[in-house]
Parts: sequence; structure tokens; C-alpha cells
Amino acid sequence: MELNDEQIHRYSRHIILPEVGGKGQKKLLSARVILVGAGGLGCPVGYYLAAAGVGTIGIIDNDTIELSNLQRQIAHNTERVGMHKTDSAKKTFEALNPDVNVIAIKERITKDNILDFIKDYDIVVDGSDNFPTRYLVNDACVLSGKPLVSGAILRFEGQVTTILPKEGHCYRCLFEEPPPPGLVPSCQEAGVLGALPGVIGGLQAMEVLKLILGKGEPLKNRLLIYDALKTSFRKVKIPKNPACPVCGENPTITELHDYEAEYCQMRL
Amino acid sequence: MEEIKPDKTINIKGLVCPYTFVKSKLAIEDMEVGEVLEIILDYPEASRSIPKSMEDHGHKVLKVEKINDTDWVIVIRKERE
Amino acid sequence: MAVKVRIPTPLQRLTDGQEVVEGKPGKIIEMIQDLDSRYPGLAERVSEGGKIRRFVNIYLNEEDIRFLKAEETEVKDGDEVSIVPAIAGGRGNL
Repeated sequence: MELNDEQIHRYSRHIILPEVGGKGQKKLLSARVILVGAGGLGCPVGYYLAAAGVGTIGIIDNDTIELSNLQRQIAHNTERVGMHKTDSAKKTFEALNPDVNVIAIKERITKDNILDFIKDYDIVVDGSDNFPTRYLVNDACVLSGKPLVSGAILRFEGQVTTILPKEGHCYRCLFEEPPPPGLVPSCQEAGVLGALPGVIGGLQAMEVLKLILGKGEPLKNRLLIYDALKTSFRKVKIPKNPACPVCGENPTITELHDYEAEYCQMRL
Repeated sequence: MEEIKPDKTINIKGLVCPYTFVKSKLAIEDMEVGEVLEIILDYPEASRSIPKSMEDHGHKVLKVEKINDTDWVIVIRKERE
Repeated sequence: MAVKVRIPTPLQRLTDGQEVVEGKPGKIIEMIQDLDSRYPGLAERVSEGGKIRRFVNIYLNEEDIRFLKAEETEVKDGDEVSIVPAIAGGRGNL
């Protein structure tokens, strides 16, 4: 693959970086990344990956756009209320950068389909808004050996971590199991300040670019915690847990399970 | 002084910064360590910035010369990947 | 100087909105029970039957106490303890 004149212009700020160059840009153009969720986190992650020229971006989401999403989900817009989020994201990202092929997957992920969805991609990005999906994505990535860049947000707090199966920790090494449904907050308790997913999604996009380029240190064995009210970033250690039920020495989870049934469906 | 024979020559006349450097960098990326790149350009600022940037990237600047009223020639040896 | 305890946003309504509260040196689990006397409800959100809940982590400085001495980990003056719950979009756990 050779960069054409338009690409040389478009990616010039990448090419002049010693850590990227034309070779790094070609890696980005041939990379394949799949996003779980086209919401608060999926929008900025996909937007920046598209701008950076990540050649193939898959997006899984079964939801349609609601007016209440637009306070933070920047790939969608007012005219598109009612449209599938994945279709809207595809339009936005491909308009930003025609080099990018966006594959819209209008499905709800389950234990039966997730391995099929992720198998053709290099990196998985979790921007889901619920625990059942988060644990399912983690388990699927560990079982299939896919790098996973995980982000989560609530109110004024965000968490980011990069999971490299076999090399480092997984989400269950961090939190062994999802909280019981009775302990998730009610609608009134859960909100998100609009720019928070931009901060956390931006960090996730950066982790993805670093993984593709093979540069820097991924956020492996660390959890980054952002407190927007204090404007503080903290990192804590996440050792790989030898007793982890999915990536430990004697795993008890060797196939995927759905947790969905245990949870009430809260829409935000 | 012994004349250095370039392994590759690019003519980037008409280009301005940062595209002068972008083109030069892409050219040198495709070469082997030890090979020599000759760049012909006419953007005055680039005659200063390209040698500096190439040195920052770890390459050796062998020559910077104004060859007529408008053009410069810069010769760089690739020192590292 | 006491132990500095960082409270995550979902629990700050129990601490009158404070993000950092002072804890008593000693075993982590005792420190949490002591906090509960000043901020009722906190211990129940973080622990159950003297054990830290499995979807909440406690860090002593940068280290996860599960890989130290868990609930028995000793904290001293000047240490920083962070309570970090699993969060997931709109559905945090605490």
C-alpha cells in the first residue's frame, strides 16, 4: 500500500512524528478495531479513530438515537433522532474520513454471537453502559486472546484500562464479579456530565492508537481513574490475579454466559 | 571534496512546510540504512528546517547548498530505521 | 495526621459530599467500621460480613489490598486509602 497525495496531506501531522511516520500510518490504515457501543464512549473513540485513519471500524449497537443521548453522544445529531446509532455513526465517521470503512452491526451482543463479531478485528473497545455486557466482552476477549481497551463513566468519574490477555490483568482480575442488580443506582442517581465521555473516550482512542503503532506503554496492569470535579487522574495497580475465574491458573469460566436476565433494563 | 552519489533524488519544488518534510521523511523511510537521499527544494524555510528535523530523527546531513537563485539541494544519509 | 480516605462519587452522598475523609489507623476493616459510625451506611455499601464486596476494590496507596493482607491490611498515619467501585455507564454499583 502506498499513501496517495491526499493521504499524505491528511495524515501529515502523523507522518512527521518519529513514532508514526508513513509506516505507522499504513499500520493504522490496515488496522481493524471494533467498538462495543455507539453511545457516550463509542462516539468519541470512533470519531478519533476515524480521523486518525484506522482503516476498518466495526460498531455494535442495537439502539436508536434518542434526544436525551445528544447531550454527550457527539457522532449523532438532532435530525437523526430515531435513526440506528450505528448507521448514524457510520455516516459521521465516513464523512470525516472517506478512507475509513465503518461496519455497522445492528445487533444486541450475546454469548452466542460476540465471538463471531470480534474474530476479524485486531482490537476491541468497550464503551458499553452496563455490567452484563462489560463482563461478557471481557470474557470473550480473554477466551479469544483479543486486546481490549475498556472505559467506563458515571457522573463525574471515569475509569480506563487496557487488557492484554495472557500478558496482563483482565476485568475480572480487577472486579471479580458484577454487582448484584439491587445495588445499581436508580435513574435519579445515575447521570453523566456531557464532556466526561469525551475525556475517557479520548484516552481509550489513544490507547488503541498506541497498540496499533506498538509505541509507548499500554495501560496494562493499571486502572486510570479520572475525577472530573477535582480534575485529578490517579493510577492504581491491578495485578494479574492467579485466582481469576477467567484468566487465572484454574479458570472456572471456560465458556461464555449471559448475565442480562438478572438485570432490569434501565435506559438512560 | 569527493562527490557523494545519492541513492535516491526527490524534487519537492513548489511544496511548503510541513509537506516538504513530510515528503522527505516518506522518501527516507523507504530507503535502507546507509543510503543517501538528495532533496531539491525551493522553499527557503525548509532549507533550514529539513536538515534540523533530519538530525532530530537521527540522520546525518551531508550537504546543504544553494545551487541557483531559487533552489537548494540537501543531501542526507539515513542512519537509523 | 490521619489516614486519607478517598470516597468515590456514588458514596459521597453518605459523606456530606466530601471526596476525602479522615480514617483511623489500624486494620482496613476496622477503619471502615469506624467511618461507618460517622457516615452511617458506608460500611454496608463497601463490605458484607467483614469482607470487602467483590465489585469494590480498596487500594492502600497504589496497591490493591486483596494482594496485601486483604481486610487485615494495616494502614497508618499518612497513608492514602481509595475506595474504587466498578462502574459501567449509567449503571454504577454503589
